[in-house]
Order: sequence, then C-alpha cells, then structure tokens
Amino acid sequence: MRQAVVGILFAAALWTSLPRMTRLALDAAKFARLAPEERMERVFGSYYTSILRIRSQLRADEPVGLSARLVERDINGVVFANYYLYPHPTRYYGSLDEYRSTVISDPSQPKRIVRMDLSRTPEARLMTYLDIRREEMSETRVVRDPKPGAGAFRECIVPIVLAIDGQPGNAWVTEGVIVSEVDAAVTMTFFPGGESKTIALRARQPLFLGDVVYAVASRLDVGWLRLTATAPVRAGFWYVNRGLAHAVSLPLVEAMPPLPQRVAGGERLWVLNPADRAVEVVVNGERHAIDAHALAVLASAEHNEVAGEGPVLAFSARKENGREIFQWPEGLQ
Amino acid sequence: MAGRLAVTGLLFTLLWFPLIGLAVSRIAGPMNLFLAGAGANALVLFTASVLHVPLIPTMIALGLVSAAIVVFRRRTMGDRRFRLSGQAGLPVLHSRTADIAMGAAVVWLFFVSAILPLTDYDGRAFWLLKAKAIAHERSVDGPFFHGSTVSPRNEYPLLVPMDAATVMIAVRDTDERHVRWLYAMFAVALAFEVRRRIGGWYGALLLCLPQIAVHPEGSALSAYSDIALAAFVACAVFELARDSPDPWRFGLWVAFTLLTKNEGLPFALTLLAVGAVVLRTRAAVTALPAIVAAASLFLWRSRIDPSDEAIFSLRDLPHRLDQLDDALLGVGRHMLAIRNWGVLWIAVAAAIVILAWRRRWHPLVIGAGAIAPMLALYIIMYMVSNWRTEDLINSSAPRLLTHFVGPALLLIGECLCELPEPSKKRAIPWTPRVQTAP
Repeated sequence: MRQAVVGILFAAALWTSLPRMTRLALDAAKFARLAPEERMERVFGSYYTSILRIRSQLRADEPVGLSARLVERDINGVVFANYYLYPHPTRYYGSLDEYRSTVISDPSQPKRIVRMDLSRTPEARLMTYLDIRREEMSETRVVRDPKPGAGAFRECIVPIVLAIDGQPGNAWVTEGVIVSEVDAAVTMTFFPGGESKTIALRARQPLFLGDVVYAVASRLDVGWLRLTATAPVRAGFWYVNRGLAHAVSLPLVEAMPPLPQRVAGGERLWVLNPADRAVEVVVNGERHAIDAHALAVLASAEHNEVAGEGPVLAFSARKENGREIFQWPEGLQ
Repeated sequence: MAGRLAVTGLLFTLLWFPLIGLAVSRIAGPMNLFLAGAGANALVLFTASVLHVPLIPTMIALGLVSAAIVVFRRRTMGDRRFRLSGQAGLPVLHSRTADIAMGAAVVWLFFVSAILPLTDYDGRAFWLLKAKAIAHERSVDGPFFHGSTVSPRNEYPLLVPMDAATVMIAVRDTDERHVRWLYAMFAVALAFEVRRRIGGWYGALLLCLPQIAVHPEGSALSAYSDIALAAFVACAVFELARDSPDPWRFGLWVAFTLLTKNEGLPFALTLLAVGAVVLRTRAAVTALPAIVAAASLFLWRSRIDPSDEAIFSLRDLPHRLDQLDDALLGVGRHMLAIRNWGVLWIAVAAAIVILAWRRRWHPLVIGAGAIAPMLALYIIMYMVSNWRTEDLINSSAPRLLTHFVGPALLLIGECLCELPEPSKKRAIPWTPRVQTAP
C-alpha cells in the first residue's frame, strides 16, 4: 500500500518533469562538444556576444554605467550585464538626466555606459552619454512636421546652431531638414571647430536631422553652420528648446547683409564672421576683433549698430517666458 | 573536455564540503556530510570575515582543522554509530528500484548542470553576483557591498554565496560553470537525507519534483538559495523527529537556515519554537549556534549599504485584509499546480488529516509546526506587499513552497508508515521524548 501511494506520488512528479528533463538532456548533449563561451552564445544569442565585445572594449577595472531606454522592457539586459561584466564597477542611471546631474557633482563617474534598448537591438551597447543623447534626440523631434523653405541654394549659412544641456530636463538642439529634387551630396561644416560631414541626398527624400551639431561634430557646442551642396537644395533649420518643446525657425543666409547693420536690443549680441580671416568691427562705437569663423558674443545695447569691415552678420537674442526670440539685422532676407 | 565541464569545481565541491561535514559530524554526531559541510564552511568563513579575519587563511585553517578532526577523532566514534543513529526513529522505505530511480535523477542533474549555463533571474542577478564579489574582493564587506558595483538585494544572507565563493577561490575562476555543481549538490544532498530518514522512494520523488528538477526559477539547475534553505530546514526537522534529537545538531541546522535567506530568520525562530516543544529543557543549547549566526548577520548588515528591497510592514496588515482571499487562492493554486509539484501538496494535506485523525501529534507538531507558521507568514507578506499580489505570488510562491518540502515528505512518510497495519490506527498520544545518554 505504501509502495503504491509513494509510487503514485513519484509517477505524478516524473510525468510532469520528464518532458522538460528530456529536453534539457537533449540540449545538454547537443552543447556538450562546445566550449563554455559557445554554449553561452547559443543560449543567450547576440546579447551574450555583445557582452563579450563590451568586456573586451573595457579597460581592466574601468567603471561602467548601466542604463535602460525603457525600464519595464530593458531592465533585464541591464541586470545581467551587471552580472556578466563583474568585476567592473558599475553604476545604474535611471535616466540620462540622472547621469548628467551625477557627473556634474562627481566627475569620476563612468565615462561609458552599457545601454539596453530592445526597440533598437537585443544587444547591449557600450556608449557615451553623447551617443545616447543623440539617439534620444533623434527619436522625438520638437518640430513635428519640418518643412524646408521655398528657396533652393547651393551654399548658405545657418547663423546659429547649438547642442547644449541645461538643467535636467532642459536641452537645446538644432533640428533641420534638407531636400533636393535630384540626387546630391550636402556638406555641413560646423564652425568655429571646422568639423564637417558630407551626406548623400536621394532625390526628393528629405533628410531629417534631430541634432545638427552632434551629427556633424559629435560633441555639444554652440556655433554656426555652412552648407554646401552639389545641386540646389532646399532646407529648414530650427533653434529648439526641448525643455519647453519650443522651436524658432532660423534664417538661411546666402549673403551677408551690408554694414552697418542695425539690430534691436537683446540680452546678448552675436557677431558672426564667416570669412577665413579675422575682421575688425565697431559695435556701438567700440572696436572689436572677430576671429576667422568665430561667432562672438558681445554685450548688447538697447539698439545695436555694427559697422566696420565685412563681411559679418550681427544678431541679438533675448528670452520671453524662457523662450528665445532672435532679432536679425534689417535687410536680412 | 575537463575544462569544458569544470571538473575542478566538481572535485573541490565533492571533497571540500564533505570533508568539513565529516569533521562536524565527528564532533556533533552524524549529519548529512555535504549539507553540514556547506553550512559550517559558510558559517565559519562568514563569521571570520565579519570579524575581518582574512578569508584565505581562514579557509586553509578550516581545511586543516577539519582534516585533523577527521583523522584524530576517527577511533572515538565508530561508523556503526553513524548508521544506527541516522535512521533511528523514522520509518525507512527503501527499495533497489527507488535507488536506481534516484541514481538516474542524480546522473541527469549532474549531466545537465555540467553543460547548460544558468538562465535563471535571481541566481545570476543577486546570489551569484555576490559570490563573485566575495571571491574577487576576498571579503564580505568590501567595496562591492558599499556601492562600488550595482548590488541588488545587498543585504541578502550570504551562506550559499559564501560556499560558491569558496569554490571560486579554490579554482581561481569566478565563472559560473565551476559552481553549478554546488546548487545541484544541495538538491542531491537533500534527496540523500530524505532517503536516509524517510525512504528511497521519497528521495527519488524529491529529485523528480518539477520545482526541484526543472523549473527555470528555483530548481537545482538555478543558482537560487531556496533548495539550500529547504535542505537545512529538512535536516532540522528530521533531527527533531528522531528518537533522541540532539540539540547541538538541531541548533547547527537552525543556524545554517538563518544564514541562507531572508526567510531564514523567521524560519529559525519557528524551528526554535518547535524545538523548544520537543527538546524542552535542552532547547536552550540549540539557540547558541543561531545566536552566533544572527549576531554575525546583523553586525555585517550594520556595516554595509542598505538593501534596495521593498520593506514590508506588518503594520499595514489591518488595511490589507481584503488581499487575504487573493493571497490564499494564489498560494493554494500553486500548491495544486501539478506542473510544479505533481500531487505532493494534495498528499501532504491528506497526510495531515490522517495523522490528526490518528492523533499522532508528534510528527504533526514537528512537520506541520514547521510549515504552518511560515506559510502564514508568506501569505501575510503577499497581503502587505506593494507589488500586485498576483504577480508576486506567481513569481515567488513555487520557490517558497520548496522550503517546506522536507517537513512535507516527513508528514507523508509518517502517515504512510502505518498504512498496512490497521491495528496500529489507535490513538498514539504524543509524549516528549527523553534524551538518553550517548
């Protein structure tokens, strides 16, 4: 009787376990000839391959950040990256803002971050803060339906472009769109650094840029942009305050307005020198040397007058309710 | 091939822990060699490390002292006594077929453990990560436990991670393949203990239970600590169920229980309460190992960063009584889930009823006494948790039920031991057993 009852208990347990035991045994037999790392790759796929790649890219004992694009979806990859990358010191950042504010107070924070974003790839990626920022910027543009201007050109200047972070939650970028009626190549050169990037345009297929400066210079900075194209293109660029979801359309300047230029007052006066040589200008009666390709920031008066040699472009900026308002010189088309 | 199978880890696991267990057995009397070794190894190393005694010298000293005890105390305690006292007092149901079934399950478990990587969540995310950290930093309160690395559940007790770290230190590699044997061995050792105390078929049954054998979260193929906790609880309960329970051995099992998981502390208190009923005046001794373990645990916790775990407050209970039916139904559903437990818990319920009907209070007090308070605590935990009750139950109930498997099998074994003899169905009043002098 005892044997029968225990036999029933045993049979019921075995009946439910046996299929899974068989499957596991078959898997084990299949993997037996593989090296341990190969078994891991078979089981975890490209995720584990990416972990091995990250491990090889990290210096010994290099601290590394951990970040998930969407916690509910991506956190497991982060948790296991923490496990497989040990003994690398790790630090989890719930958001990019958290990383940024932590780095401000403690510069010894990890320079590189293991990023999980299953909407892009099942692999873990070793990225910098700026890489992740660019991805997030490109995912959500403030300008909902960017339309290029009506006029076509082969060369022009965008007088101010920027990629900077403010307080957590605030960031300023330049969004843009470029389109050509024929296949063309457009070269964007960011000044004052001089970094440039050439992008092929397919006919009538708009190129959308979520963060122009980072796309060209791979860093956060403020400056201006020169566009040259192999065929006439139309474009539109916007100065974007992401914290307020506010965008201001920027003029595309094909020729500098003549001097003197009169600009309404603002909090700051900007003077752009697109030339390859330094120029000397007189701003509100005071002489200033503006370096080649510089975008100089000067004190602004209630009314500004910029005279002297050219070519330069002067403009001012002020804020109303946190939103930027630009004042362009009279005569700028 | 040896490298692929991490045989060094296996050999060390099979030699080191039984060696220490044998030494403990030579002093305290017969105990499961592997489980006693795993418990004592971690208790000594953890306590020493909390006191900032260097880990490696402690390991070496532990090995030498254990070897010396095994060599020099051999003549004072004969093997005969081990065998006899090990099975005294409990019905034993052995058969050659059962041994073959159990052997096949053990071979299967070792084969799969040797090759397949861990795929579980908690094992990798919490438990083995701690083992790696201890092995790497040679300390239980080094930078890892102070925030240098993301350490989820920082305050989890370290018995199993300490054992895993011991293996990693010995083989000089923190790769998980060296320690997968350890988790398999906890299940195998528990099965052997069940076989020794209750019967061969019960050992085979234990190794074939889906939750123990194949469940992705919490089985012997994962790096959870639940089977280890179940093993220590089972050993403590089996010790109490003997004709002449030894308070020191019982106390050691309770101490190991306390250091294994967070649930270990209330489990230890429960076992001490049951032990007090069974052991009466001798029960005071049982608390000593547990006090050492608890003191080490709390001293360690006071020095490291706090855990990221949600704190459950029993004060919320009056406001969460509406969750009681959900918690009861959820746990009940998992107890009846054949896919995880076969018909084990149905048999346990029947065994409790039959034992009560026969008025066999002694096994009931020990078996059900170890299960009921903890099961009630788990249900209360589900009620006061800020998690969605259903989610928490689904993710943890199968594992938590593992903790009761030893007392559960004891209840079934005690119930079945008299089935063929109806004349013995008379009431057997329970009277405390008196320790006889060794």
